Amino acid sequence: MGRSRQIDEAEARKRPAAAMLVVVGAVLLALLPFVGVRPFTITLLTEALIFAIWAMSLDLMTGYTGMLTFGHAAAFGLGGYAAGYFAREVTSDFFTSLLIAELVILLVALPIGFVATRLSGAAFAIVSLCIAQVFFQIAVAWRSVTEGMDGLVGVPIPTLLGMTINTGPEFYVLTVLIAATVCLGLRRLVASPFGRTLGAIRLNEDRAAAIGINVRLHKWLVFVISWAIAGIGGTLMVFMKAGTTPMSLYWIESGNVLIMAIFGGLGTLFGPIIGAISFVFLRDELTTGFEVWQLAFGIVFVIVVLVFPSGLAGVASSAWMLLWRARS
Amino acid sequence: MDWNFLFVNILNGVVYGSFLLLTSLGLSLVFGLGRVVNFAHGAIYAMGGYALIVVMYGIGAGYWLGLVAAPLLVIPIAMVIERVAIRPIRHRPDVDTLLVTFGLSSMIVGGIEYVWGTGTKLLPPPSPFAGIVDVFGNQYPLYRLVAAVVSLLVSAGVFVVIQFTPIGLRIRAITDDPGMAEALGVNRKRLLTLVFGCAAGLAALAGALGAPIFAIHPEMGMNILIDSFLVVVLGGLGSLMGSVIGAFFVSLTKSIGGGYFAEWSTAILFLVVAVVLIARPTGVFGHGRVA
Amino acid sequence: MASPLVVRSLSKNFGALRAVDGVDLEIRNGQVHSLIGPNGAGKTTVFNCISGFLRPAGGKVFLSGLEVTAWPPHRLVAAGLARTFQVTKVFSDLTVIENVALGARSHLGRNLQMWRHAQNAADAQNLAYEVLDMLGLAEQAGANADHLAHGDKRILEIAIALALQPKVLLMDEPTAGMSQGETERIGALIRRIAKRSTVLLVEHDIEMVLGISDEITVMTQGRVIASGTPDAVSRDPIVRDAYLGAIDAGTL
Repeated sequence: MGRSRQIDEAEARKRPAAAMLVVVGAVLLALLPFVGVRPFTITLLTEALIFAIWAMSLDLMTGYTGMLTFGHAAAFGLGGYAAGYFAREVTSDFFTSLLIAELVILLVALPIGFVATRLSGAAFAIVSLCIAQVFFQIAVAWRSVTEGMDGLVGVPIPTLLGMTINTGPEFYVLTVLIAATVCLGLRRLVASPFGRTLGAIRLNEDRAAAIGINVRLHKWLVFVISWAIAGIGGTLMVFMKAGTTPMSLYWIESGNVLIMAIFGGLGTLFGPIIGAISFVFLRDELTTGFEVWQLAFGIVFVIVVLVFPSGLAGVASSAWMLLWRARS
Repeated sequence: MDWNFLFVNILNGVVYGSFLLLTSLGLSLVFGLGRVVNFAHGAIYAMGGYALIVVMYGIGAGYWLGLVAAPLLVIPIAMVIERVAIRPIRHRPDVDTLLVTFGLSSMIVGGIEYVWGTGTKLLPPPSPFAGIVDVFGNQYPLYRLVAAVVSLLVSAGVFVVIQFTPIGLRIRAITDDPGMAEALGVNRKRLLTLVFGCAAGLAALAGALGAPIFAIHPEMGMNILIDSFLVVVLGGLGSLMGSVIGAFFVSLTKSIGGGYFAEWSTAILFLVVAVVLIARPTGVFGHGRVA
Repeated sequence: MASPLVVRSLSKNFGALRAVDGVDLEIRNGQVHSLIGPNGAGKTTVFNCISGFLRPAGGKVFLSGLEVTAWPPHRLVAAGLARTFQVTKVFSDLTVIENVALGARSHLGRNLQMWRHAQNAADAQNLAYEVLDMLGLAEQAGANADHLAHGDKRILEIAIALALQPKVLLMDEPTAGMSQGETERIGALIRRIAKRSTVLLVEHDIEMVLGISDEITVMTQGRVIASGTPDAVSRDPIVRDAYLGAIDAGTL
């Protein structure tokens, strides 16, 4: 009994260390523009961190709870459209726009999630793709609000407490702060009793139900939370690009965020951050010949999936856990 | 009430539904037999359209030769894909085949864009059927009716094969009970490769048939892929009868809804599917497996 | 006081097959009640109907007087019912203690807590360690559940269910695949468990069942053909008929 308690205590001591890592990493990242890193690299990093937020939200649903979705662009794009439209029509205050975007997402994700989480596995994956495609078609067709294929333009530069947040180092630092907050918040969530139930659901839904977990309710909550966080990313993106197009809802984008999370390591939360950064920088390298990117992406995607030996859901999290256990 | 307008929309729905049936049958068969959900099905539909172009403009063949050749070109490619990318991971959790076929979709579409660019190509309907006919007082392109008839005939052929031939019997038995394969002395893996190839052939045929109607571009398969998914989810994965009802339900809702509600037709369709799923998570026909 | 578990006229069909046909059960407090019968008699189906994994076609289930027919599994747990599975379903890749802690936290109503660290729920951790101690698994608390020996995995199944502090525990073939020694150990354990929770057991090992049960119900082809003390049941001509001396041979 004493030895088991020691395991608990050892793990408890690791916790603040990991959180410190995130904080230190964030501070270091935030300092980059001021130590002479090129503005273009900063722009790429901003985009990468926005994608990291998006990928972490996907990891919560897919990596931790085992709900594979091919439609996560829906949440991201919806957040962008809602925030962008509001910022342009009403006020460019960042947090107000974010709040409105989150309200819109809640209004949409609650009913959609209620229906979608009735399904599991392949059916859920398919339906999630269909949802995103429907959003895409609405974005193209609802010209009066979304301006169709031309996209939403003229989104103003965001303001925060009266200060303007210009593109460049200022917006970058804001993104770093938000990304770090999301990361820390998600880590907290995943380590909580609720977070542990997600792992149980992923491993064995029946068993989870048999120990008193209300599986449907938990899946619904994860769906909504995941969409809400993706919406944060979408809001940041619409301000960064001063607009958005229906392409942000396209299935290709959903594939992109999936590969970021998978590449980085599902079920690890840190992994998607690395995956997002790698994706953005790699794509920048390879997009000189744009026509090749789609093909190359597809090939890489297929190879990555084929090569991972024990399949997606278990790979990264068990590797990570073994790593931690080995250290103690 | 403009009956003519409604009638033309219904016709359009039937035409599209006949293509949707071809693709949905293929999806349903592959899932029923091998538990594989093929996200690349839309890309294969597109391959059909481009294979048609290759045959017609590459070697100067006529449309009808192209129509026969396109599926014949696509089937072996699909069988190789199955053998190389899908068969090795079939024993893994379902998510992996989903992801692989998703990646394959990207790969195929990317490959098409790489070779032919992202532009749209128009294809005129073949000369004997290029004209307009009068259907109950409405002008309607003849080719569409011809294409629909061809699709329906081929679909009927698929039914006949599944219901009345020895190989169809094997397919049905193994779909109901995978353990049967050994009892029947059938190599399930090879059968699946064959069925996968044929399903691809159906999708490619649909793509080639639809080319003069819907134009050819790399993303041409996306919409029909989504619609096919809606069909099999509604009708129950693995249920052929469900695919028939589902295909025409989806296509008619889209075209009639599209006629009166324009851009919202898809949203309405999706709402209907959502309601069905709330009521019956296994699809309208029940015995299809959804998860 | 109402009996912890009462089942009345339970029935379940699979298509044309009547898998369970009008089954009655009443289990008294602190009892070990065994459900036996040949393969295909419908025992696991009865379990699945009681524990919310199948919807019964007819009949009612009562937990301490409360009607719980067709309740979903998580609601039944809250009402005091827990079960183990015939095929071991521990949570792979999680540690032994984490497996049990999941059950403990669920019992203590923590499932929707999103802010505190799970391990800070000290009462849940303590409960989990207590259960492991009681079952002799405390030494392996930090081990990966997948790496346990088969017998220990079955015990872990029981531990997870016990962490839910159930009033009624359903055990589906707990000794499947175990050696003689392990079977005896489980038998003694079940008698200890029955002091706190009532146990309903499905088993094939007839010797063990005769040894530890307070009452036995015999099923065949979806129906109950006999019910009573081990003595009475083993002497019942109808039961002997159904098994043609299998009871004497010690196998079923």
